[in-house]
Formats: sequence, C-alpha cells, structure tokens
Amino acid sequence: MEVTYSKEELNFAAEVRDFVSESLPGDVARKVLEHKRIFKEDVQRWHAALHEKGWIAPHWPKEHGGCAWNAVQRHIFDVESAALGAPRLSPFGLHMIGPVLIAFGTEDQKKYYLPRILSGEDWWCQGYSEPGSGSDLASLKTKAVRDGDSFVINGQKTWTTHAQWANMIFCLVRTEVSERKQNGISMVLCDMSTDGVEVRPIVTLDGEHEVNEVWFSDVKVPVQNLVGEEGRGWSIGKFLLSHERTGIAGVGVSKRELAYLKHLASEEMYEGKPLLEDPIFKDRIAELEIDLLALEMTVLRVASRDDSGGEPGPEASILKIKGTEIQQRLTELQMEVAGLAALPYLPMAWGDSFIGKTPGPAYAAPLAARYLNMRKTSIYGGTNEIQRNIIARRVLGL
Amino acid sequence: MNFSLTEDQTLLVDALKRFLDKNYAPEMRQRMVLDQEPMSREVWTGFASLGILGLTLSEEHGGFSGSGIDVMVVMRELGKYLVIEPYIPNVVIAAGLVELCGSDWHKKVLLPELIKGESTLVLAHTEMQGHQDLSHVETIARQEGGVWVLSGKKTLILGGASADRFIISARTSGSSGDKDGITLFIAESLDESISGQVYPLLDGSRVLDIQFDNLRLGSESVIGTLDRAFAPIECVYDRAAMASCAEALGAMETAYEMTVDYLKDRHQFGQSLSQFQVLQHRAVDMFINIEEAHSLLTLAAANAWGDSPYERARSVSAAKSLFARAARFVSQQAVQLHGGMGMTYELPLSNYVKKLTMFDALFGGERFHRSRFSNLRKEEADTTGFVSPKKSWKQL
Ligand SMILES: Cc1cc2nc3c(=O)[nH]c(=O)nc-3n(C[C@H](O)[C@H](O)[C@H](O)COP(=O)(O)OP(=O)(O)OC[C@H]3O[C@@H](n4cnc5c(N)ncnc54)[C@H](O)[C@@H]3O)c2cc1C
Repeated sequence: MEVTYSKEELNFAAEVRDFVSESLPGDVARKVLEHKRIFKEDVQRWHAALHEKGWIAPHWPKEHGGCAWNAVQRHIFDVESAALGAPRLSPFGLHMIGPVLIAFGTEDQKKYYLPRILSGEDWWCQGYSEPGSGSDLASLKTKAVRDGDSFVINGQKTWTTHAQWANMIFCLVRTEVSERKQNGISMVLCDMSTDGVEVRPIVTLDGEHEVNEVWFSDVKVPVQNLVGEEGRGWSIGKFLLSHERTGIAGVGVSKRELAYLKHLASEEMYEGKPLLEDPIFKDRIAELEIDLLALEMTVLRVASRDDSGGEPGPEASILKIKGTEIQQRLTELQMEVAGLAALPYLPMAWGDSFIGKTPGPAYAAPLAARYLNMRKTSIYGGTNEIQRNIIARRVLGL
Repeated sequence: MNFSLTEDQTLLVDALKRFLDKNYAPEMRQRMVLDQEPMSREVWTGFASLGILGLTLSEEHGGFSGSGIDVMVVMRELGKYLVIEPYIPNVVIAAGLVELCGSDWHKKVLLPELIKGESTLVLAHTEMQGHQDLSHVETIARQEGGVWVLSGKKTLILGGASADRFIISARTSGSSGDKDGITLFIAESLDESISGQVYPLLDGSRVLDIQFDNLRLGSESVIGTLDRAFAPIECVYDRAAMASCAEALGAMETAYEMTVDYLKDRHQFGQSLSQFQVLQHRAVDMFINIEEAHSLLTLAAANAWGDSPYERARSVSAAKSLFARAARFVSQQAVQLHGGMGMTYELPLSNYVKKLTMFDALFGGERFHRSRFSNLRKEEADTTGFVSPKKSWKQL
C-alpha cells in the first residue's frame, strides 16, 4: 500500500495545473468560481481546449482517443482542474453513451459517434426517466415499434437535462412487452432534429431552465441506431448508470467550494472577528472537511479497485450518497455565511454581464438559488434512497 | 396548564381560514408575485375587518389586547397560505414599537389608523455593511435648531415597499455597536430626501433599501426616549422571531401534508411510495420535528409579550434555534420525497420550500440564538432589559 502521492503523480498534478492555468478561458473560470450562470458555449470552449490537448476522455482506452489514465491520475485531474474553475463537462457523451458504445456499439457506431463526442461536435442528452418511471425505471413505457428499416418511437421522456442544448439523445425504449419488465427494453440513439421530437422546458426551484420534457410522436429512427441487442437494453442502461455514479462524487468541486466557503467566512465579520474564527462555525466546517477527506480517500480506494476490473461496482453508490450530501451541506454553509444578504432573489445578478449593485456583497447573490438547485443531486442519477437499496442488496446481500 | 385554544381563538382561526380560502388561493398569490405587488390593499383591509391588525394592541386605541398565543395562531394560518402581506413588520414590529415606547400622542395619532388598515408603518433598522448586530447603527441624527437631521442607509426593510411611514433608527450618541445612543424617528416614506430601491426576496415578497441625506424631521418625530431604543428594538425582534416561528410552523405543516399526500398517490415498483418503510420513517421524522417545534413555540408565544425579558429571550431563542433545524429538515425532505417533482418551480410545494429556506436568516439565526440561550443571565436580563449582553446578531 502507498497512500501518498508519488513523485510522478505530483509531477502530473503540476502539469495539469500548468495546462489548466494556460488554457482555461479566464471569463469561464471566473463564472464558475463566482457561481455565475454557465452557458453551453462556456462548456464548449473548455471542452475544445481539452480536446486539443488530447485530455478530453481520461477514462477511455487509448485506441478510441482516450488517455487511459488510472484512477489516481483521473482524480488528480479532477481536483486540479476544478480548483482553478473548470466548468463541469457535459457527462452524457463522455461518461455515459461513449463508454456504452465502446463496450456495446457496432463498429460503424464507434467510428461515427466516438470522434464526434471527443470533438464536442455532438451534445448528448439522456432519455431515461419518464413521468411514471423514475426510480422504477424498468417500468418505462415509451414505445419503439419496428417498421422496415426503422423504429417508430412514441412516448414521453422527462427531466432531460440540457435537452435544449443537445442535438442527440440516447433513449431507453420498450420494443417488446414481456412478463418481466426488464426484458424488452432497448437502447436507441436519436437525432433531436428528427420530425416528431419536441422539447418543452421545465423550470426548476431556482427559476432556471435546465431540465425538459422530451416528447416523441411517430419519430422514425433507423435500425442502425439500436445499441446492442434488441430487447437487451436494460443491462446496457445499468452499465451506463454505474458510470454516471462515479463522476457524481464531485470531490474536486467540493474541495473548491470548501476553500471558497473558508475564504468567505474569513472575510465576513462576526462579533468583531472573522466568522471563520467563530467556534461554532469553525466546528461545522471542520466536520464537513473531515467528511470530504474521507470521501476523497474512498474515491481513491474504490476507483483503484475499478482499475483492475473495468466496470465500477455497486460501491460507487457510496460515492454518490456521500458526495451529494457534502455538496449540499457546502451550499447550506455558504448561504449561512451570507446571512440576510443571501435572501434577495435577483436572477439577473447571476449573469456575467451584470453591472448593477446587489443589496449585499456580490458573492451572496447566487447562493440561495444554488442551494435550491443542488437539492437535485440527491435525486438525480438514482436517488440516494435507491443508492442505499443498491448497497443493501448488492453489497450487503440483504 | 391548559393547551387548548379559547373559543375566541377558535373563532378567529376559522374566520381567518375562510377569508384566506376565498382571497388567497395559490393562483392569486402567484399573480401578485408576478405582478411585483408588495401587498394587496384589499387583503390588508380584510385583515383589519378580522381584527388582526390590532391583535395585541390596547383596546383604548381600537386593538384587541390579545396575547402572544393569539399572534401564534394567526401567524400559523398566514404561514399555511404563505401570505406575503407584511404582517410581522407592520403589526408585530412597528405598531409594537409605537405601543411599547410611543407617547400618548403618537399612539392616539398612529395606532387607530394602523389598526384600521388605513396606513402602514414599518421599522427601517438593518444596515448591511459590517457585521449585523442589533446595535449596529451608523445612521446619524443630529440636532439643528429645533429639527433633527438624519443621514444614512437602511437595507432589506421588510414591508418597506408598501409602507406609508418608516420608523428609522439612528444614532444620537455613542458609536456603532453601542447599545446606548440609538433613537427612533418617524418619517413619511414619500419624503423627498429619501430615495429607495425595491427588490424581491426568494419568496416573492418585496423589500426596500433606502438612502437619505439630510432628512429633516421635527422634534415630535422622536418615538420613545432619546438614546434608549435598543431594549424596545430587541423586544420587538424577539416577538417577530416568535411570530416567524409560528409562520414557519404553518408552512412546515403544509409542506408535510403535501408530501404525505404525494407518497400515497405516487406509485413506483407496483406500489405506492407510502408503502416503503424507509419513506414512512422519513415522514415520521418530519412529523416529529414539527411536533417538537410546535411545543417550544407555545412556550415562546406565552412569554413573548410577558413581563420578564429573560423568559422572553430564553424561550424565543430556544424556539428559533429548534425551528431552524426543523425548517431545514422538513423542507429538504419534502423536496427529496417528491423526487424530480420536488425540484419544479411550478409545484405549489416550491413556495413553501423557499419560505422555509429563508427562515434561518431572519430575526437571528440558529447559531446566534443557541449561543444567546446558553449565555443568558436571568438577573442581568431582567434588570437591564438587555437580553443579548455580550452577543451580537449575525443575522437579524
Ligand atoms: C435536475 C434533474 C436532472 C435530471 N436529469 C435527468 C436526465 O438528464 N435524464 C434522465 O433520464 N433523468 C434525469 N433526471 C431524473 C432522475 O433520474 C429521477 O428524478 C430520479 O430517478 C427519481 O425519479 P422520480 O423523480 O420519478 O422520483 P420517484 O421515483 O417517484 O421517487 C420519489 C421518492 O421516493 C423514493 N423512492 C422511490 N422508490 C423507492 C424505493 N424502492 N425505496 C425507497 N425509496 C424509494 C425516492 O428516493 C424519492 O425520494 C433528472 C432529475 C433531476 C431532478
């Protein structure tokens, strides 16, 4: 066992830092660090920089254009780039459908889609959840019926993140009704500009537009867009979900937000001293920091186990649960630092071009909205209750 | 001891409920928020007819000489309907201050029209810069001949957007942070030396920031004793904290009911969510949080208008800090148990979640109240009337 970073690993961290400082657009970094609204173009610019460097797909095998970094390298990259304000890349291509195609796709699919994911030409979204099928995903009803060389899709997906930005969607659809609901599900890829696809916005608690309903009426998709075998989409879908869960720990982002929290608390005065020196507040921060350190070590332990196996195990659920709890508590404490100043609701102040004055300090303006928005993290990607069910069943054998 | 409501209280709650059912449907509230209206004059007049604008004020001026428990039952209903009309700022804080320390003349002139809903009055006290402490007053008032001249800035004035008059706190001696040397002045909101900016808070209510240079006020504008406004301000803030707990109770109860209904309605895995034991237990924990909070609130309500500053501060701080935890837990779990639906703006639940998210920052947060609770000394509090001897308010 060796639980400190080796010299090579430290060198790698320095290399990452150098690259990020040089290549991450400054305005994008500032928006991320100050919790301003992030647009598609912001993410795309960072994506392009990483693509050019050849670092866009750390977890993909080399033959498909990835870096084949090990778990420690990936972690270092995550932490270093987040610290400098790198925006979260869209996970749907790089972390979800990409690995699925590598594992289950046809040669043609790999040849066509993988380079487009790497270059950022395609923006993917995820069509899993339906109004009646959230946690119980396998009960999904969106239907695809074979008609010559096409599938004809009818139904509705919901909560689809950034469907308004996407040109491609991967969907789980029912191609056959069978006794066992997990059978008869297939995964298909669909161009968002196909006739019959309609995107309707859903506004979230914070007043922002991030998720959507996606409606399908008689949407024709060529049979070549089927991924894997017809009717066997469920196991593919689950493979994808376990990949979604590892990224979700968000250690890098939480470390950055913890540092920001401490910075804010050191500037905000309370009883003539910085809030950071208030014994109660200090204790809360310490508690959180210890949890984060434990999570970081767990990420490294779990991930290095994956390195030998390939597919992340159900332990990934621990990362999802702890990671999201920590992310949420960070938003709570940041809001507490701002106190009254977090209460005004001024969505225009979250824009980068805002030049007006907010009633309180500028940092406070987006904190309440961010707190509300981050409640999503314990719901999406399989709720934290479902993650506990997975651990109970698959790890504990209960 | 007797925890049941009196007949009068029951009648009042029923009448208020009927009124709000008719006049405060969620769509109407939403329309007001979208139209950026700080309050509805009709609703306010309705409140006057129900008698709640003079609830705790003396009968001599048209009030009802009610108790803290009366305020509690009213605020709980206002919380259930998420009323954005500024009841606490007008009735509990500003009218409360006039009654606590105004002269007979002030009471005679001001209280009857406030009670009838003919005019509105709120306190302009908070100043955002520096650490927020009830004694943090930088606004200056100096005497020039027979008049007072005020200069300063006030921020986040609850109810300010619809106020006809302000009570402005200003420093007449000492320096910011001193408890002595704060004086209250009454001013017309339309005075041309006051400029203001209105903006919304998270729950859609609208507040005001003001700035004034050389605002000239006559000597009759001083409310209460010169230099001695700190103790009354602290007193009405405690009452406001209690009232905001009662409001949060109503909001938590509603969010809880919505969640339990949702668990029964929503099916996954071929059964209703309410059949999953882990969700049952979560709902039970929400319920326990609400019940415990309700209990402490009753104690605070009984003491908020009482004679002992010590008992008042102690019970209010206990309630306010317990409520902070309960409000956070109940609102977060309400979202969680609704799954994706809980994240939507459109669901009525979202307004309750936002209200409860704001709770901790107003009228003293969890940390402040807990440490005040543990530092409170009976003798000191009851003799000086100051209940935050060494501690300051991070959050008002
Ligand atoms: C912001 C956001 C973005 C999203 N993005 C996407 C996306 O891009 N693509 C996509 O396909 N989906 C997306 N989702 C959907 C997400 O995956 C679902 O919301 C999630 O799976 C939960 O489903 P549900 O909302 O139907 O809640 P439900 O399944 O109805 O759950 C409601 C509550 O019941 C609990 N529960 C349900 N079953 C059980 C059980 N067996 N045991 C214990 N508790 C249980 C849940 O934990 C939850 O607390 C997104 C969701 C959000 C909020």
